[in-house]
Amino acid sequence: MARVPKSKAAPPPPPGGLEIRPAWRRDDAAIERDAIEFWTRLNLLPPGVSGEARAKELIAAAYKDGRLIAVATATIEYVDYLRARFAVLRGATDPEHRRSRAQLALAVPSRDILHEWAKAHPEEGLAGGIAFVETAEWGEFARLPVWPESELTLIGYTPDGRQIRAAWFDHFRFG
Amino acid sequence: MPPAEDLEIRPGWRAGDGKLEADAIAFWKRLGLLPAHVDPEARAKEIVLGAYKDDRLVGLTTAIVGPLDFLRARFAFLRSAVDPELRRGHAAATMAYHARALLERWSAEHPEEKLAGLGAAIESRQLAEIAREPYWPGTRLMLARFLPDGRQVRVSWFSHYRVD
Repeated sequence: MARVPKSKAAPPPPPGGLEIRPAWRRDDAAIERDAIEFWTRLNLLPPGVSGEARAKELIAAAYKDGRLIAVATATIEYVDYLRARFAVLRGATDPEHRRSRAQLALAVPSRDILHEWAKAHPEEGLAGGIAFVETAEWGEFARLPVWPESELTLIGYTPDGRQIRAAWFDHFRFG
Repeated sequence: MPPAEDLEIRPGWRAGDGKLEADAIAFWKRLGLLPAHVDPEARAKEIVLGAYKDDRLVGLTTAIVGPLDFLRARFAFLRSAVDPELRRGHAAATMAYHARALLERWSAEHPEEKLAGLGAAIESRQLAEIAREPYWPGTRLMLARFLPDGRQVRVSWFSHYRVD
């Protein structure tokens, strides 16, 4: 990804007193329960999607003062134009905490969690993360071709105008 | 890969450098590198840099600028040629590194040109082993998609560039 050389230094602590709790493939009942309550309270789940099923897609959750205020989730899907399997990333933030930078705080831990899991499960062939971005929601940040925190790089647009951003995992190789 | 320190890099992008252009035309003729339909004088206007060793031109990088429609932006597509005597060295990697730096600086100084980065269409079979890596740190070229014919489209965005 047109990206700056990677630093192996530990990431800075999350801003604003946020606590990031990993959840990917952990079956953590407490986080799942909090996430279902979060989605239900904010009416975020599309019709036909159960909270219990979506909870199994949790990568990590951001807490503030013991309350869940944002989540990152993913499904693993084959992306034909990249000829590889990617984690399709989604995020949701409590509107009361939109200025908390919670999604930015989740970005690096989420990437690292998925990367470590991909290395530990080579049979899954997980190549990286991909996100479909509503530019209006991200303002000036969406003008950056490469997002420094997550290394998500602009690789195209959907027919409805959303940005397609992808980040490859370092260890991944074709074939 | 460390740079080839014995090479002198001579910038040429949009420089109108008559000596470099003359050396380039002689280089192409000596090595028979240009197809018959290509005008050497015109190709010389695409020079990004020349690599000299002992005052002799031994490598050339040229670029054409064009759009990548799926990214809604303009990219520079590089071509490089290295004297066969130096192909086992690091000349090509050194030239690619400097070409990227030169074009990025030029792009920042000429925002009206809206040059977003480097692009490349890679024949996977020609670069079998390296094409397995989706990201090349030296040039920062990242695999952005496969074409239907199997070629890889790689891009490297310039850090100053902003999407419209």
